[in-house]
Amino acid sequence: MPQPPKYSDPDAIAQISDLTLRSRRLVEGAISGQHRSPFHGFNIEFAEYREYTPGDDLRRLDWRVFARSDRHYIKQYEEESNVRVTFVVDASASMNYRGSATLSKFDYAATLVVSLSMLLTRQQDPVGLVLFDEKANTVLPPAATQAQVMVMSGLLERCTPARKTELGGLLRSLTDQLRRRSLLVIISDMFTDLDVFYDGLNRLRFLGHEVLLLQVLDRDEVELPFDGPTIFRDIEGEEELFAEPWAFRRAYQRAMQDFLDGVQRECGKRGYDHVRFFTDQPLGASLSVFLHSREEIGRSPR
Amino acid sequence: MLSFLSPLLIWGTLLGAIPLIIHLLNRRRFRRVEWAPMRYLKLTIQRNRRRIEIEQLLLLLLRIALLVLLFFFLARPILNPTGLEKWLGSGGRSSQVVLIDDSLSMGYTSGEAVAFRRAKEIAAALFAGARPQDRCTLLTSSAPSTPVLHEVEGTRREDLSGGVSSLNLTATHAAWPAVLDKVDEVLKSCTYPTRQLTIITDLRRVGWESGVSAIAKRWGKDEVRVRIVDVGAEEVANVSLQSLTPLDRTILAGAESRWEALIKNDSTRMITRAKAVLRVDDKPTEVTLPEIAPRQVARVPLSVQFPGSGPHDLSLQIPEDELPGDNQHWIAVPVKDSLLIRLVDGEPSTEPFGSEVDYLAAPLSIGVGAAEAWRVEVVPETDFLSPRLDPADVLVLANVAAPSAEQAERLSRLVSDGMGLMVFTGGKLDTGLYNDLLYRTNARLLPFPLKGLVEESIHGLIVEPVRPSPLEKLLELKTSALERVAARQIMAVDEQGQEGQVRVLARWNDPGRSPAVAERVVGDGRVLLWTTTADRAGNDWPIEPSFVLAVREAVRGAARPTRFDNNLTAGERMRRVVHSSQQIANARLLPPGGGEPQTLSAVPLNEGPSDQGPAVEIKVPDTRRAGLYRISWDEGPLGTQQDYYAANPDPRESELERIGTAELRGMLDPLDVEVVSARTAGSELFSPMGHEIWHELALGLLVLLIVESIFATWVGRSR
Repeated sequence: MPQPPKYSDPDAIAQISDLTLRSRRLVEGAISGQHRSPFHGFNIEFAEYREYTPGDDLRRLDWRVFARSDRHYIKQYEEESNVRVTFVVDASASMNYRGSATLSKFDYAATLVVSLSMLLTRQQDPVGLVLFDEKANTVLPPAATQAQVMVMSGLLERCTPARKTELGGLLRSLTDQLRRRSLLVIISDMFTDLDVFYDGLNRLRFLGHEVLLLQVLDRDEVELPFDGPTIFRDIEGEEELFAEPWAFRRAYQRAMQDFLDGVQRECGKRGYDHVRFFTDQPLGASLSVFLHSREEIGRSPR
Repeated sequence: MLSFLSPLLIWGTLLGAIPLIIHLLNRRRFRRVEWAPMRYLKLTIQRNRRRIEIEQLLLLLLRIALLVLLFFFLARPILNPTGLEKWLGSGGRSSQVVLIDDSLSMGYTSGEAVAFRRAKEIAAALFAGARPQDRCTLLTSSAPSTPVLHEVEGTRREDLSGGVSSLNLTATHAAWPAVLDKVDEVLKSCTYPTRQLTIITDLRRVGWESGVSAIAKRWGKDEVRVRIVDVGAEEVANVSLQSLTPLDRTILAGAESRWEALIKNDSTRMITRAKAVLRVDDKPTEVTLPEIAPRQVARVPLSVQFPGSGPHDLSLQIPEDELPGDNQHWIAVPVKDSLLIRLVDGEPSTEPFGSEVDYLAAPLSIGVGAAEAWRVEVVPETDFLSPRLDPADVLVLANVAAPSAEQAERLSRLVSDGMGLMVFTGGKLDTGLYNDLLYRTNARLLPFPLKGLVEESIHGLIVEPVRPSPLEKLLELKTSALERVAARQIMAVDEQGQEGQVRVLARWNDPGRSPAVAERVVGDGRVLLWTTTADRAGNDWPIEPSFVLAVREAVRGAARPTRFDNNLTAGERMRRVVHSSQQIANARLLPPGGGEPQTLSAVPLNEGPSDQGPAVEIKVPDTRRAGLYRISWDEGPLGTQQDYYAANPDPRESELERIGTAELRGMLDPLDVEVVSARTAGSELFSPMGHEIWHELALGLLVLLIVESIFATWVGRSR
């Protein structure tokens, strides 16, 4: 019997099995799928009427309306398409941190990727994977097969997070590589140069890509729960710092909250979703909440 | 200056390093964390570094201070230590002898503290610190041979503290050679060979004399440990009543008596318009004192009249100052109702003013003021010294041929005992016998040897300006009153080779300035030689008013003096010997300052047979307090008799100059004497061993504990 993928979480998959992850923007898919396409034609969903103008395809003229109102209206349909989803996963050393939770941030992120990939491939959406630290060290182009999920899982299992996080630079290079509008799911702790990161987001936005930022954090990183004298060693470097956390815990928590709020605010400004995951939260529940909330937003009037 | 009662515990303050060590150890016992959001951690630490460092430093210092203060507190620090703390409880069992100076000068008040009270506090502290195995003895300088406590075990705290608190200040003088000599005897009687003597005194120079060296050498050899605790004030100011003395030779009832008070202003302030209180038999009269400049002595004349004969008391009190003990003097005055003047008529006559005694009796027929003053008795020359006669106050030999050898002998004794003798010369007088009998070597009564009568016309009398003199009143007369005096015959005397206390009081206005009246002091008595007759045989002076004055004054000035034997210096022996054939019982003493009468013992004396009857001695055991001692006793059918005694402060104690430590040590060489100071300034709280500051430290400790708790909570709160 084949070993199940390491990052496959059956509970999480079961919880999100009847949910969908939809793009909030128009996507250019080659096959029909769950996502709205910018192309209008004969396909599935009626979109709107508009008055006929010379040059329009007469096949799209709505004769029934003409019969009733003696006016020429063109019937427009919204084409549904699939979306190319690329998971951009932070594989820097900081993702190795594991506090009191059972999973490290990278493990949690990987499980997140696998669970969402399974969901997306079921929706006929092609999924790809980019693992990065200071640069992209693994790039898997999108494909909408079950085998793709297995490949991605394998890549994640084999990955050993190391080096620093350079997310901003990576995004810049990715914009050059993405030819079609895509959904980029960035999974990272965001301990990176935020200014460069926001530049990258700006470019992605300019090119019409949708970004979903899933920020994975350990609870310790936000709450700093240590009491006694502690030497903090930079997980991505050599620097060491001696401190007694009780003396400035609240100040640190405020600084972290400012950081998290800042990321959320900047994403919001660009129309991108920012979702925070803590490694001590059950992944299934967290994903379910996230997907539900996204569906709710999707159903709201556009 | 700071010292500790438990000095070993001060090492505990080193434990103040514990918080520092814990702090350093904590830095070694750390956890290591691989940390991702390093940027935010660094940012936070950078922003809070100064605050954290200050808070942690303050907390560390607070905790160190807490421990240091705790052990500081336990070590019982004392400010301005006297060093007594080291004196207590060292070595093996020992005899602790504490000698308190209770002399008058110890009553000096500096600030609010009296030296004597400080001395008692120190003594109490010493005994409180005595170990159970010690034996404690308490002595006073006023009665060093009578210990207040002797060899009392150190466990008997109540007895020890009771002994100290029972001590009272006296008006005595501490003569240290005598005092230490007596202390030496007590030290010899101590049980343990280790003897520690603590002398608590004010270190006044008066009393410290070289005589102490011999004792110091002895103690040095015997390894007696001696410590002197100085409780005397450095800066002193004192106004003292040095003396109150009578100027008159006799004090007569109803007659004004002249007194003189000597007031010494040994301070830097001018005394102006001060009032003194003069009390006669407790009846006060206010006396305004003259201005007394700093460092000056004032003589204040006083006039006192005693209402009746018998024992009276007189006291003068000047305003109280820092040393109140020397501001009052008491005098017990035995007042006579009159003087017995016995006139011996050498040439009796039945004619009025035919005899010389007539001219003498006339001036004495009028009393002095309201007093009868004189009782004149005329006797023949044959038996003028009969034992049947009352002892005369003044015996006047008026042209008496010559006394017998026996009479001369008796005269000599009587004059030495105080009787006044006046000799008027004349034609009957045998100069050879007078010279032989009354100018004998070793028993001279006459001021000069007589040479013989000289016929010479003299006009005028010159009174010598000598004071005090029985004739000094004549100096107040107009010159003409004396110029009128004429003499035709005088007794020439040989002024050469005079011995003893002889002086010429008046001279004739002749070329040789022959003595008219000469005086010799013999023992307590005085002899006045008049070189002329008391009648008009050789001169006209007896009919001159100046003669009346001269005789009256001469009688007063030569009369048996009022005896002030009942006036003592505090601490001196006070005894009353009663000669009576009656049973002496119920002897009592009313001590100075009132209080309950004390019963005294009347002890018969084994004296030989006496004319006055058997003698009984009534002794006052303690005269160290200054004031009036009223002794009374029952004398059978004669009823209750009484006599007054006065004990006055020793004037030496008014000299407050201090003796230096170096000089004192030199005096006590080779004894290794520790001299420690236990003085306080102003109203500062006095502690016998310095100012123990445990309560301030306890308060500080409590405050520090509260501050540390609050601060630690505040610092430790989540921020």
